[in-house]
Amino acid sequence: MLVSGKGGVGKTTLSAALAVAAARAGRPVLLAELSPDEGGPSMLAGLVGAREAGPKVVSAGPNLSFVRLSAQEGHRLFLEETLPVKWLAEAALRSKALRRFLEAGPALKEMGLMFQLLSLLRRTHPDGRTVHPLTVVDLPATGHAMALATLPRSILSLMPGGPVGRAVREGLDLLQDPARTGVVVTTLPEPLPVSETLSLVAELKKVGLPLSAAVLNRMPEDPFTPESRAALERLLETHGPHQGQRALERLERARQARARLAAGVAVPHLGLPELALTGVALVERLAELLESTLEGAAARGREATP
Amino acid sequence: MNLDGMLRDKRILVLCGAGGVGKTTTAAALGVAAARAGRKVLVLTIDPARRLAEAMGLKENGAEPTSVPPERLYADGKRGEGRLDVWMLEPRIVFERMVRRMSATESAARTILEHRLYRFLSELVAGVQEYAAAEALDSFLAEGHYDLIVLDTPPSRHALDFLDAPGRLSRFLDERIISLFGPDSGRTGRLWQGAQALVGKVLDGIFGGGFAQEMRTFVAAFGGLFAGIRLHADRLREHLSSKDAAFLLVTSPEAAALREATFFQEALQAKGLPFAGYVLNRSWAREDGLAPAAALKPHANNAADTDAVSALEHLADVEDARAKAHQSLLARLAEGLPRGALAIAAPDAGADLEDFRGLVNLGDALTVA
Repeated sequence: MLVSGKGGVGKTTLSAALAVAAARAGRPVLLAELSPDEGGPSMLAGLVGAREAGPKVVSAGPNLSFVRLSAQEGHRLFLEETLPVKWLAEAALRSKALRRFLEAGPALKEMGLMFQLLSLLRRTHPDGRTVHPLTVVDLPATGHAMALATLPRSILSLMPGGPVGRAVREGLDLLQDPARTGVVVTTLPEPLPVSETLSLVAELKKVGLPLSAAVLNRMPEDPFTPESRAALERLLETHGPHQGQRALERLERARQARARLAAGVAVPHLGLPELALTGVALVERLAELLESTLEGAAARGREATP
Repeated sequence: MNLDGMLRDKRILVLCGAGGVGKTTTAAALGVAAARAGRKVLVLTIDPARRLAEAMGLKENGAEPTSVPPERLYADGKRGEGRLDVWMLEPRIVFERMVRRMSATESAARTILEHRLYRFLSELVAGVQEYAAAEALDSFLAEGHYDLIVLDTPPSRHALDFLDAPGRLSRFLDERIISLFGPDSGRTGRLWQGAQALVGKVLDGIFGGGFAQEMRTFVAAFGGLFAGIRLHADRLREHLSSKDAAFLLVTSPEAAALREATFFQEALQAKGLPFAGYVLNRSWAREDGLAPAAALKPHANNAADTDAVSALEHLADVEDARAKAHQSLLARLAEGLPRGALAIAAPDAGADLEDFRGLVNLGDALTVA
């Protein structure tokens, strides 16, 4: 399950809540952070109480593991798998110039991240069961996510053969398979974010990534019935605007945003309420709300088993 | 100094911030305000929302900046001396221009531009947008046609990615890496040749022989531009560190804003760049001066009216709590400010921001704050 959206829409919190909800429902879930900058503190790790944020998978509670994908780890795995002799891979990884090239070269970083994800998804227990039947990936903000999504095709057109081509094709097969991958787009109930989400949905379609749900985060609470709403219109028309005007306008924008989103996407859309909570408490509460709808969502989210 | 003063004095205004905070709109509104105050302004923007682009009359994929017609800029009164140009950064165009300008000969430029890998580089390298923004800023500064350039930086998780990305790209184009790949490194010594042979083996192994060879010819061709690129980067750095420049952080009124603000201020300081303050966007921190919702009570004539008024009272309470939270956030942002820096609240203009009039209003609201 790939969770996408612009910065500031609550994408990371939603990713954490989805993972927590799935874990509580008894599904082993891997929560993966895919961030273009791997340094610095991980907000996501903090939200699920993972003790460390690195390329090693750590447990963050019953059924829940966490990993911060690392391009360097991906490169290491790839080189070890690809190069015919072990010493060559080791020497390559020791070479400072090559490491810098892998860090900065065109698309190589993204390929590294993708390769680590693939290799995690491929992992199996000795009895053949997949180790991570459900993986929730917190994608970077929209721009980067689109670059990641268009990347495999561009690489394939450049080098259809060779080990890189093979790995990328495998990744693309996984990402484009609606039986295994589902993208959840997150947005806010305001005009601009919804416009941007609708164009993101169009782009996802273009690159063949299967959309599975759209989430409107921070829906403001609506205290009106149709009758009282109409009555208020009449009162305000006669007596002018009163306090609460801004909240009222915001509510109206949210209503329209929801209608536009519903008309614009063919997949289920889900509104999450605005809550006066932050951090872990917010994740917990959202997870509770999601749990009730999880059965459907999990079925749509598919198992990420390659 | 207030924002109005900054718009009159500075030459470069860099707006940083995470994606989705309304940075582009703020950049546009500030550009409008500065132009209306009489300056020749260029707003460099990245991927503006369609309606905002339309409001400014912005052409997509334009090779040159578009001028906002004076009748639109001064729709409400007397025309002034100011001018507002807007350009939507198109990395492809910026790069192509850079390659042409820096290549020794036209045929050298063509070798790069027609190389199959060129498309790859200009589209897919992380940081290309950021690099293009820096490169475009540098070249407009060098041309000197504008009094003020407002730069809307690419959306990113961290406000300062814009400053680091060009570094990433130039690290890729580092001479040492290039000579490692290049067919003719000019360097000798067994160790170096050993390293070159190793890289060759690894690349052949990973990418297949054909691609590795392609990569070599490309890197060799691009390598010729390296000195020029570094020169531009150094020159831009100088501009950005000078007192002509001001860096503003645009943030939305959320819990994470404080942490982000601290990070931003410290990071700028560490880089020796001039921190100018914060714009708390889409906030309800300002009073709207309206009558309390309860004042409608005497006018309620039936059950639906009564329900309506109490629902509005509830909304007013929600609004009030939100406004108070925004005010306290603004106060805390203002606490740690160095002299001359500012923390201002931009109003929540909601859906009004989709025409030019909305930008004028927002610009006015920001500059009188």
